[in-house]
Amino acid sequence: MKASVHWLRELSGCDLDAAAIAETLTAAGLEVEGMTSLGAGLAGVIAAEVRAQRPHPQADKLTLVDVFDGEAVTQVVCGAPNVPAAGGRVAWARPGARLPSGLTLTAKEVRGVLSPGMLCAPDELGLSDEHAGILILDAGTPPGTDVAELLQLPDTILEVNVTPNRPDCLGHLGLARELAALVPGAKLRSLEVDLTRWESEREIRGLAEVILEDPTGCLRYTARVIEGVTVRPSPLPMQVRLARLGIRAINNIVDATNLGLLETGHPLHAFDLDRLTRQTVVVRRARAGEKIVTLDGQERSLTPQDLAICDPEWPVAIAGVMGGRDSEVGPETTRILLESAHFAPTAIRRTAQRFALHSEASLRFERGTDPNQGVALSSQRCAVRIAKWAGGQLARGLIDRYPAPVVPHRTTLRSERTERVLGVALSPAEQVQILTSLGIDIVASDGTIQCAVPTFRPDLTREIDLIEEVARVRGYQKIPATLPPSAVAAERTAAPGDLVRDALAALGLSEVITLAFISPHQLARTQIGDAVVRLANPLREEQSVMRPSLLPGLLSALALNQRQHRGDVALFEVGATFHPVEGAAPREVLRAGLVLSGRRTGWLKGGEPIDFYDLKGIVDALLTKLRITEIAFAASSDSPWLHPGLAASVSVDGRTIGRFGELHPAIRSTWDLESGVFLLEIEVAPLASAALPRFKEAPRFPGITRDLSFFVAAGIPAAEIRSATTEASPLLESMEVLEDYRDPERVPRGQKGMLWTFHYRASDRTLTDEEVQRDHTRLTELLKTRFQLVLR
Amino acid sequence: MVPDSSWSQQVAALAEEGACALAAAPNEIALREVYARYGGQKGSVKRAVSEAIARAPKEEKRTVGQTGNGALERIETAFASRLAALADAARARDLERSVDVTLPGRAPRIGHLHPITHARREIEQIFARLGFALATGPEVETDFHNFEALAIPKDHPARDMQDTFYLAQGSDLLLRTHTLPVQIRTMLAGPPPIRIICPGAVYRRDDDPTHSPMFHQVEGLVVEERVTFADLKGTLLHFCQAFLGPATRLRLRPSFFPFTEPSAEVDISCVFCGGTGCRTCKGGGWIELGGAGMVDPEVFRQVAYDPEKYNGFAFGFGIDRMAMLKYRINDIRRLYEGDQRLSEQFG
Ligand SMILES: [Zn+2]
Repeated sequence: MKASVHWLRELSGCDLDAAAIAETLTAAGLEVEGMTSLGAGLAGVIAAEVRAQRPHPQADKLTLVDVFDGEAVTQVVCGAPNVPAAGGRVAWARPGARLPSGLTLTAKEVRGVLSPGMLCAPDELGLSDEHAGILILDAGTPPGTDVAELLQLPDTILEVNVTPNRPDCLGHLGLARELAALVPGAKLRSLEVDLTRWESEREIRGLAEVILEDPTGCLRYTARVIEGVTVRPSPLPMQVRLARLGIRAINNIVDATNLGLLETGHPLHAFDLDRLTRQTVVVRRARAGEKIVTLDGQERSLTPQDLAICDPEWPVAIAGVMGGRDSEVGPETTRILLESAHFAPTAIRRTAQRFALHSEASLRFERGTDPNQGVALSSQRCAVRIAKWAGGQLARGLIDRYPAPVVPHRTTLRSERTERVLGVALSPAEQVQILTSLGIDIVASDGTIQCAVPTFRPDLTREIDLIEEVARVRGYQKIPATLPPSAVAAERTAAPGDLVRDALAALGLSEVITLAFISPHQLARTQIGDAVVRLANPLREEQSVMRPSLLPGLLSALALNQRQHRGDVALFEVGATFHPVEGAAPREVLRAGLVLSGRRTGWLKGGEPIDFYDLKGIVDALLTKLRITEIAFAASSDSPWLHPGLAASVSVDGRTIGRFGELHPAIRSTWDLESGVFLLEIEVAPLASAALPRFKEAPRFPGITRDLSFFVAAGIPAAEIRSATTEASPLLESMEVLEDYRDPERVPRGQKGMLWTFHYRASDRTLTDEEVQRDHTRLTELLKTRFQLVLR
Repeated sequence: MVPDSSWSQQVAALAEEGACALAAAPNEIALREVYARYGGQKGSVKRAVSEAIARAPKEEKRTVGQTGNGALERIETAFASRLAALADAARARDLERSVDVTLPGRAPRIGHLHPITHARREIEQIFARLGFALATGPEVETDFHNFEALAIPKDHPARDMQDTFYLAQGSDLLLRTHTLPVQIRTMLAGPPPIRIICPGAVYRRDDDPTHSPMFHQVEGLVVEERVTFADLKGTLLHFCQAFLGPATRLRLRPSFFPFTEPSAEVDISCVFCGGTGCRTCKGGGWIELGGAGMVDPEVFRQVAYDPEKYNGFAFGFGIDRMAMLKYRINDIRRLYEGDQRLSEQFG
């Protein structure tokens, strides 16, 4: 909310400068997010009466104006087109006067005529940006009046971020109350007014009637009547004040209600009494099908959820949100019905949201207004302003429909509890003093402090709320910084997935983090057909589904890196994937994914292109590093996103936990990716479950190696050959494939050539050639029978 | 004819021939071949000596033998000296090698962790030393855990403060807007004492240079019999100084969160200017870090803890923001593009 420092000083009696006020409010939780200075440095400009004017003899566009400052008449040269007729009031910067621009005026010749100072435009006074003409002051302004004082200059406009719990601070009064509590020496000015001066003999009863049909939606409805008003512009100082706070001046009646809203934070509404049928207001829920044309000219259909202010025939305003055009105050208006009411926040909120009508009034009603002082005080002050500015008289009395008055909330504060929460000892007296400064009534104070919380502070309902007030007003900076009592070290301190992150980084891949919502189009493009979790309100279509796989994100990252001319890409991500579950919350699975593309790293880029076995090597190394041993790999053809011949699945205990291989060439081309792309996606949980390693003595006796070179049917996987040999000899320690070749010049059709090497070793002795030869021959025979291999 | 001298001369001539050949051998392999021809037990010099001794008259055998030994020795010496000379020459050539030390090395590919991971781990370690355990939870949450249990009912104005992504399947499910639901789940799972931090991805409907619709937060919760607002202040100060440097200053400002009371905005002295005022801190010298406060009794009520017995404090801030401040990253969206050059800068 915008707040005028000038006004705050006036209300709070605090004389700090704008920066200090901003700092004070910020430190108390009313964060000042911006400051705009107006008219700083303005001095010596006075109101002057125009006595006569005549054209400048040398220049068409200049006028010679005789002005009267209360003592003498002086001729000033003026360049503006809007010099008022005799009797009009203008702002005259005399020689010696200072303007916010830094200019000090002197008497100087303008085209041959001496001009002592000048007549000022609004921008020259620092009032606004306007420079179309000179500022015209109100007709009755006494000549000689100080213009800075008249226009409340200099001033600073604060942009205060009022948190939702502090509706009282949506008006200057509330902010001033805070300042009065926070700044030593400041004291809140009383805003009570004496109505009797402005009242006529006529009783309000008989002039207007209010029927409150919905006391839940409207806790209290008050009406005053002001008769004999003349609708015209409000006094310049008030227009200036409104404009400064972002509200356009309309006429003296509407301006008075708006000024009341800015002052007390309590919204008001003025109806043309004579445009209300039978001068009667009915507060009720709207009926289905009822319509109203609001002040902005829009026709709106109401529902029975909307609280409406009606006359006996139809709605005349949407309660707390916006007035109706048909009961609007206009130039013909002579009698006003002034509404000051309390509406239920939830009702206003729902209606304002449905119409997307967030007015100054609805904002305040939504946050919660004060049904007691707020309703009463703002009504009185506004009524007096209307009478003063529009020349009317108040009808005697107030129509007040308040069937269930809200009484100040009683809460108890145990003064020692404050220390227990804050960690700093405060005397009961100091706590009482702070609470009192906020307008809280202390009913009793005998070890416990019994408080009656005024209804303008709906946020203070519990002991803890009062403790916060004590801490807040005393200042958070005065609370010491201590550490909590020491505790035993935490059991779990590593995030799930971090083991996998470290392993993949150690294997040369770089981590990316991509957004968890992806585009359904990308998903389709990657042929990942899994059911997806959709967002109801995505920011954009490309971020409308929760990823069922990390791969689209990784492919996007790959594409980005390739666009940046980074051909050699090795990226991984560890993150959640989301999978719908019928009638329940989605299942979240933590997965690791990786993408490889480009060349093996080589000096000066001499490397070979990455192939399937680079990927497989990373998968093997990852599993080794994480000590996952009971794994099975199998060719896999059920992933449409993988090349059918270069696709594998990883299983643990018979359950598939991941897939890897080369991206299907068709998908690669729809993604517009260069060179072969290799992918892995695997669940993290099974990878993090390895048992603690157990030390095994490394073998000390030398081993013997035998090679075996053969042709075998191309379809027989190495893993099958490997598992067939494990039982063949107790001396066989390990085996590895040295070659797998399939070129037709060397290999018979349908076959592949393989070279294996077998390592034999005994843990307790040095083996002899003979015993190894015996076992190796047995193994060879076994493989020959089992796989029909042809030895080479 | 003088047979003895003739034999001796023949042997000497052969030794001379051998020594010359050895001295001329261009490399070690050639040297060993030459040596094999002349030297050793099977070489031609030895054979010539044996023959001369055999043929020499008895009284001359001794002289011939002496001459022969000299010849054999000559071959051995020539071999050894040539071997040494060749080795010296080879070492001298080896020492002539040199490299351009400024060319890049032939490195294995090095992987890198994301700056958010780096920052998160450092945060986790700092709090682990203060006895905070790690807690995690789902990213899709229920309205209850994300809002209701935190004293933010449906019509509460605080819901304006964070725009929430909801799932299409039902309005009760949403993407968590903070990691506070993990705190709720932890409290619902067991009694105090509790001392946890909850890092993780969170989601809000914002997208600009300072907001990403997905970002990472870490939130902390302590529930014990004797913890105070002063302890909260000390914990945050300790953390900020450990993470951003010992010169970091802390400022708590009163604020409003439905789930804490008293509540505070947490500011730190600007890491860019040290607090004197610059563009990043908009001249004020302070940077907003996050929120904190004492756990509201209403939250304790939701999880059936006794607010008379226990006090609690909670705090939360953005890991992304901490990483951005620490590593001087200016646009949050850089963190989520997947550019390999981002992580590569972070070792
Ligand atoms: Zn700064």
